[in-house]
Amino acid sequence: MNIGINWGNTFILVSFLFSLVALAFAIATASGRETFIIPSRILYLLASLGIFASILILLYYFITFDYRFVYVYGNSSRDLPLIYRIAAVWAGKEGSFLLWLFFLNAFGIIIIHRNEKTASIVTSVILLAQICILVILIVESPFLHIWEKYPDSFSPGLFPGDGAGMNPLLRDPWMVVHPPVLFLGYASSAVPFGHAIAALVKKEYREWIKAAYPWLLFSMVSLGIGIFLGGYWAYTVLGWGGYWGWDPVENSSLIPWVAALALVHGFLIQRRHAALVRTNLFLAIIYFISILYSTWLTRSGVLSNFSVHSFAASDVAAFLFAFLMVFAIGSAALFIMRYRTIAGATLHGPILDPKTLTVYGIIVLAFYALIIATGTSMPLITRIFMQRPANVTEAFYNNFSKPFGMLMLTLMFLSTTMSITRRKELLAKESIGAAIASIFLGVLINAGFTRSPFAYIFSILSFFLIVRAGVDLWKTKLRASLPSRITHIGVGVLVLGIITSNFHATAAQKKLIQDREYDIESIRITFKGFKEGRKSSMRFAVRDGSTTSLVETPYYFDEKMESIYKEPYIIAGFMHDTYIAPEQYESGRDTATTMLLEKGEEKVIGGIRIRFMGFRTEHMTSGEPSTYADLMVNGMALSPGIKFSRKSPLFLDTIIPGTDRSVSLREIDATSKRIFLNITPGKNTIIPPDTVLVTVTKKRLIWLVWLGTIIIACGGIYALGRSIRKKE
Amino acid sequence: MKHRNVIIFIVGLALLVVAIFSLSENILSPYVPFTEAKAGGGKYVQVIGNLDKTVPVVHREGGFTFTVTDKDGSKMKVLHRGTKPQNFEHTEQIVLLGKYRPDVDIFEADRILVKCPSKYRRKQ
Repeated sequence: MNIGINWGNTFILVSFLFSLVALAFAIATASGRETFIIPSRILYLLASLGIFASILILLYYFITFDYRFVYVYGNSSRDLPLIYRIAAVWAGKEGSFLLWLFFLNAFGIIIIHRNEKTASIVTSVILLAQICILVILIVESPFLHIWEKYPDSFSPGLFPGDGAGMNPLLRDPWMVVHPPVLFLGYASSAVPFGHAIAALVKKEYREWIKAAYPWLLFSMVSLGIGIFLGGYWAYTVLGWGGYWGWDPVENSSLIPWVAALALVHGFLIQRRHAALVRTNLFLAIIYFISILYSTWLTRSGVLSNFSVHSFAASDVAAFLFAFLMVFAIGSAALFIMRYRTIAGATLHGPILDPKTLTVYGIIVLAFYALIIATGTSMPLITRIFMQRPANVTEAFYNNFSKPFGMLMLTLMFLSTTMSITRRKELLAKESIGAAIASIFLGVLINAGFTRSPFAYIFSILSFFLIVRAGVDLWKTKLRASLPSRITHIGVGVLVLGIITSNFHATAAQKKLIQDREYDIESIRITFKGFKEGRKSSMRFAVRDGSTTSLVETPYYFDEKMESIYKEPYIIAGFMHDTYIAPEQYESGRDTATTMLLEKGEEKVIGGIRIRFMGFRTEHMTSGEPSTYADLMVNGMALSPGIKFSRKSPLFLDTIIPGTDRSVSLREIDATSKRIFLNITPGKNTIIPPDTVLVTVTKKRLIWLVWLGTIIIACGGIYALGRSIRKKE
Repeated sequence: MKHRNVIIFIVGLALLVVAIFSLSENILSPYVPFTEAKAGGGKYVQVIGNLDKTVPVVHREGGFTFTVTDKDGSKMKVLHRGTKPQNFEHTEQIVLLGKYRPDVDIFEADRILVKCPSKYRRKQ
């Protein structure tokens, strides 16, 4: 059978070849042959065409249910709504690399049209990164045909009529936005890195930050928003440990983001005081390398035993490591070579000067990023030094985050306070007022909910920061300090939310009998039963005062996961969110009518005593064998069976003498020698009500977490807008 | 701003890191089989194993219990007080983080990681 050309792979291969040539031309342009600039741009755009075509065709395959491709087969199905078929493009490793590549290439198109002297060096760096991702896509292609992967199941040209479906955990509106936003941040980190490399190559250490600054802000803001979106998503998923779980995959975005935070502060110092020149070059390199390192950690499979989200071991591991090494060793060598030629101004000023405090802030952030990176890499580090690898626990991150968080908050409010240039006695008076107000508020928010001194310290520091930055914003109305004040207020609000939603959370577990009202965690809840359907659900009635609301939350068996999929139901409120998690449903009918028996075991159900003696199989060779289970039922020998006919199994039920019930053999597990019986209910059989085990958690003031992240994002977007406008 | 101050600050932070690392308990959890988890007498560890599907998973108020066979083949009853992970029944491998409780002869896991297989299965 003619299976045609694999267009997706062709596009990837073509853009790989164009990228190689474009890189040669870009390097030639960078080394002074300015006539090469036009061909290098054209070659770049030809490579872009290939990349655009390959992501478009993948999208097309998803939209048109083209299950010739393993990737499409494995991540979608015919019943999947269009929006999730689009999102399925980045539902797996291969497609998300393609999305990353697409964004990286798109940013490069903006760069190649710049006439700055350094543009061709930045282009070369982007092209090198692009080539690396293309190699990964060639090794592990999203366009692999299903008959190439499963030659035993499919001959060439044959493919399944429906896909395996998208993991129900990913069938979520956040899946549509979270990964693309995160990859915008990942992809754009190559631009400030490229500018740092260009600066080192050209030995021009001052001007580069002007071009790099908007890119850094863009990258930092999108990575940050991506992390926040991931947090909102994780909060609504059962078993992902809330909005933040210190999972390696979560950390792998946090580490570069903290590095970017340090870098953006370094840029501010260099812009105003021409200092921290080396630090900024170093941090710009670290930002990009930490993204590559995190990608290697989470996508090579080295941590697959240590993370809930990380991908399994794969063929691209060695390539990812090689690319990481190329960039890390290359940029480190360049930095060391140039180290002595880089000189910046020395900062002068007292210890409590805002710029000095910012420098300390940068050091604290860098340390913190390093600590999280160490924690995330602990299984690899310990494997070298110890006989058995060890991982860090959540206590590791929590214990380090407490002092470092306090340091950061302290530095932030000190620097805000010190930047207010007014008479000293007035400043002292205002500070005392703010301190009293903050202590009052910090105690008020925690009193009666927690005794942890950390909750009080963090709340007081956060209020102090919010009050100080708020008052400063109100009084000075300085446009220039707006982004910094807004984001710092956002950090304060976020920390308050983290404190209240963790230290004040209460939870209770209860088995609910159907149609009976319970009072758990100050809500009145009634289990209203199991709702049948293709996607079954649990129904609850929640009473609040005089109003009763009927709610439903998914609880069904998912074919792809071969497991129960369930969702929590969240009642959002001002004082707290109520998080209702159905843990386990038990059908009353099943408990009265079904039975699991091991060989030799005896059980009683509704007054009937059943012992399982053994199996017997007849007509083995006839093509329609029957298996019987020999039972002793109330002292009588009965043998219900299953006849395996060609179409469907036929159940050979047996009436239990002296009762109006019959026994049916439903399932046989030959390896563990167990049977599953169904005993039909009789007239007088009492069927107990259905039950569900639920966990109800109250997360106090959790909206402060969301509000804090929104304020931080707004501050970041405002700073980004300003930096772009200023440049033009 | 003096270089000396910056260096003092960095050294101070480094000392803080060392102090936290040495003062904290249960921040590292080695991968061990059940026999070592038992011998370790309540140390915080991780065990990799498989869910023993012949023993039913029992849900009660205050947690659910199940049985895990580790890589050496020894079995142990496990209690988890949290939510059951989504693909728990269908997991290829299970990682338990927690401590052995000798008083009740149960491994109490405060975290469970599950990995789901990604294979092609022919539909019937």
